[in-house]
Amino acid sequence: MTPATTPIEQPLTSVRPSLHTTAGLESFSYDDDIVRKFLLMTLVWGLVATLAGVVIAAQLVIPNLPFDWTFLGLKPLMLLKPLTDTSWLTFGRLRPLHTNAAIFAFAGNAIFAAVYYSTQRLCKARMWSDKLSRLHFWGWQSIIVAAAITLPLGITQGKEYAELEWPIDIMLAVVWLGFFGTNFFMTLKTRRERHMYVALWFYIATIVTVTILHVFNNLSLPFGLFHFLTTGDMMSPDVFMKSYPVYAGVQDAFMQWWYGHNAVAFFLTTPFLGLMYYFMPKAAERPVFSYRLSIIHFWSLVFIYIWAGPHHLHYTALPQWASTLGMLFSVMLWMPSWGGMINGLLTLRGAWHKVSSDHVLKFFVVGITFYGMSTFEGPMLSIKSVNSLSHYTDWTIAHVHAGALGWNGFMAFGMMYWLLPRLFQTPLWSKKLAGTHFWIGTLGILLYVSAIYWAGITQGLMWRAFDATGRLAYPDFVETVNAIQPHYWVRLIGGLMYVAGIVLAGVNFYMTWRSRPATYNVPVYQAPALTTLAPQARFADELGTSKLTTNIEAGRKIDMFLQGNWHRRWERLPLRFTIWTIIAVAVASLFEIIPTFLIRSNVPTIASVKPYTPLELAGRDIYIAEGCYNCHSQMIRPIFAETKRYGEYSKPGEFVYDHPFQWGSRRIGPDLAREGGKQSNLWHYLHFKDPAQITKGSIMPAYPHLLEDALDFEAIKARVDAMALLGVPYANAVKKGETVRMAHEQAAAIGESIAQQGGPEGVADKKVIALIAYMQRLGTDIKNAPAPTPTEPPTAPTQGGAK
Amino acid sequence: MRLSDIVGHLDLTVWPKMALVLFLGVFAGVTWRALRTSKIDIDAAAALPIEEEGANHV
Repeated sequence: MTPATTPIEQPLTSVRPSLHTTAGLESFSYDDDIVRKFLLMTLVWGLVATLAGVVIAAQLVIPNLPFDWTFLGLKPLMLLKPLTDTSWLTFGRLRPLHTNAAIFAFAGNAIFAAVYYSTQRLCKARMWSDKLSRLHFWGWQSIIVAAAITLPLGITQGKEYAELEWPIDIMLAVVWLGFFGTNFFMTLKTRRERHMYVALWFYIATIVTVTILHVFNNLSLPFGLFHFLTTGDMMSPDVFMKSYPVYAGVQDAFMQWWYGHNAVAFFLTTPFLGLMYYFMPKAAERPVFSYRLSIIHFWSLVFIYIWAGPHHLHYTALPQWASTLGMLFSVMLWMPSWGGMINGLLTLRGAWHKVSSDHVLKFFVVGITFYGMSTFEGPMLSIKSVNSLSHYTDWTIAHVHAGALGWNGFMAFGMMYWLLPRLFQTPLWSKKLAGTHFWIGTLGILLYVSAIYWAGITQGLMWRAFDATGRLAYPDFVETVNAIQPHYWVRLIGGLMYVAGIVLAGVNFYMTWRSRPATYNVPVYQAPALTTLAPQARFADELGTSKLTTNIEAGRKIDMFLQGNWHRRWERLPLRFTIWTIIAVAVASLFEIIPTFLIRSNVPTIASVKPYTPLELAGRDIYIAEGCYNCHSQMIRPIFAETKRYGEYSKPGEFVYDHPFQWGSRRIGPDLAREGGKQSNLWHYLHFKDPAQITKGSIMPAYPHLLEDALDFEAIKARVDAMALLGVPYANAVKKGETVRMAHEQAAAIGESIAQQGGPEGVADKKVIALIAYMQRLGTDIKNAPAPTPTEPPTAPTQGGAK
Repeated sequence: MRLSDIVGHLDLTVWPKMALVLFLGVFAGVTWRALRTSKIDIDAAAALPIEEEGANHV
């Protein structure tokens, strides 16, 4: 066997056969080349995503290393120093890269490999358009590369798992729906198998729901483009690509977690369930345990999942009814999830003995087991009392990784090992190596999640601990960070083991590919086209027959209706099925979204809350670009331990000008909602320069570039104009020339105060000054006396909290 | 009077209960439909993935 091509170049012996009818039969072949392409990229991006994860896991322990340690006259640990102070390598910028790579690149390519392989076979039809398949493949990889370039550069929307800016968002929508969706639905339309197998239902739900989520969560105003169109001025690329979401504060938070939760549901769950329902029976060589259960599983899951998003916002400024609704449906979600898990595992009935020797089944069994664990834990975490402890801690991170590494990862790898010999038409190079991958991966996950569960619960309990005198037992936040450093080391080891497993998979992939035939055999199949059959034959059982002996025609019709054959008919009609799926998703969404957006009492106005000054707005954009929300929340919950530590709890009305909201979801560092005025400007300046010098034991990266890079004052006008367009009541600030003057004036005041406090002079034009202005504004409005009118514009910049 | 005024006067504490009833209705309907389907149809549908490559091989 001579390797003649790369894995993604298929030497086709037959191109797509023209459809011809032989005695009512049509000939066709399957496009496995596209499956090979997506499978290869699943592996590649899986490695990239997990490596990025290892890097950011290391960044949480590296800052406390003794960098001056000398070995043979060298300081080897200094090699790791760039991970703590290089602008494009900071945790805040790399963490979105890690999550986006894991979700959209690794899981995304795995989904596409599964869909392209199984859809063709379940439909007895080649994909409708080879060209759309290729456009989909290359378009998707381009999106991932664009993300890998822009995120480390700090070009981000600042919303978790929706960080990509508008040009990439548009590209994503076109590739997802225009290329992938069109191709998929047209394949369904031209299929030769009447019944749409349940895996296809899950794929349909995935495609339509992800489209809805993506479009509505990413509605934003691209202000760089807007500025260019209105003035003709082309600003720097990072400003040109910047946008503000049309939603603000509570509503933006609601939309974001409606999206964020359902991205997990419809990107990491439903397509993988489709994968499970197709590949598990294949691997076990027996049909799914209960097809009836799979029907109930599908509709219950699709209907319930979409309601559960608000559980991400318990005890925040979200209205109580929405929070309760989210909790209730999250708990209900446990049942369909476990129905699916049981259905998957019991497919192995009578074949459990195969699991010990079949590496594919091993991956599937552990993957489905992790699905069961995660979907039990998810509802548990949504219960408010549990959530009050778990939220903002590593408990959530452990939960997510049990799902991502265990469920998504192992289902993807199980599928990959099943597909490799079939796609490359040669035995898998080493089953032993696949077995080693399984064990090292499983141990890696267990090590990872055990350590992080422990870390999360430990830190959560420390945050709420009081001493005998009623004071916080651990008043310095950094104490709680340092307490879980050992857990972070164990997590790092677990992550490295998981990466090692993927490397082994890569070796197996490459060696199997090397053994492929010089020319792939492309079988040609025959099946009758559905459309060539007479209507009576196509839908012979649609109306059914009544067994009633009554002469009353209405009674017979009711009996036929109750037999449910009408349902089977529209199960076969992709359009009608899709519409019902959309209705199930839309009803739940509108139930929550309409009241959230229309009820003004949900967000009581606070007269003293004013728009950010131009400089503070620029500083806020730096906060977003640096990904500070990845480590800091801006949401003090009405919990005694939190108000004691941070100050007055957050109110919905405080966020009405926050496009986007920045509440965060994890506190690796302390909450910043009331940070304004707590420290001096010089403290902030020195803290950004080197946090460890100010706070011993701090693991926050240093930001020397913010102290050196000049602030683009001219771009501030575009930012303010965009906010004004979104309804933020700027008045004087949007007058020509006024924005920049105000920004310079406030920057000069802060720069002067830093110099007066003993800091450097001449720093007023640096980026750090804008960020300090923003930090000093945080949470201070509520302390001010109410202004005469709620819409009075800012007439003068605030002076910050200089002490 | 605006739409937001009308919605603002709704008692939203009943929202979760309405949602629950709505779901139970859907759940009952789906379960009923699944249980009513004949075993022949169910077995045929369940067998689709394990059929030989889904068509007649020529």
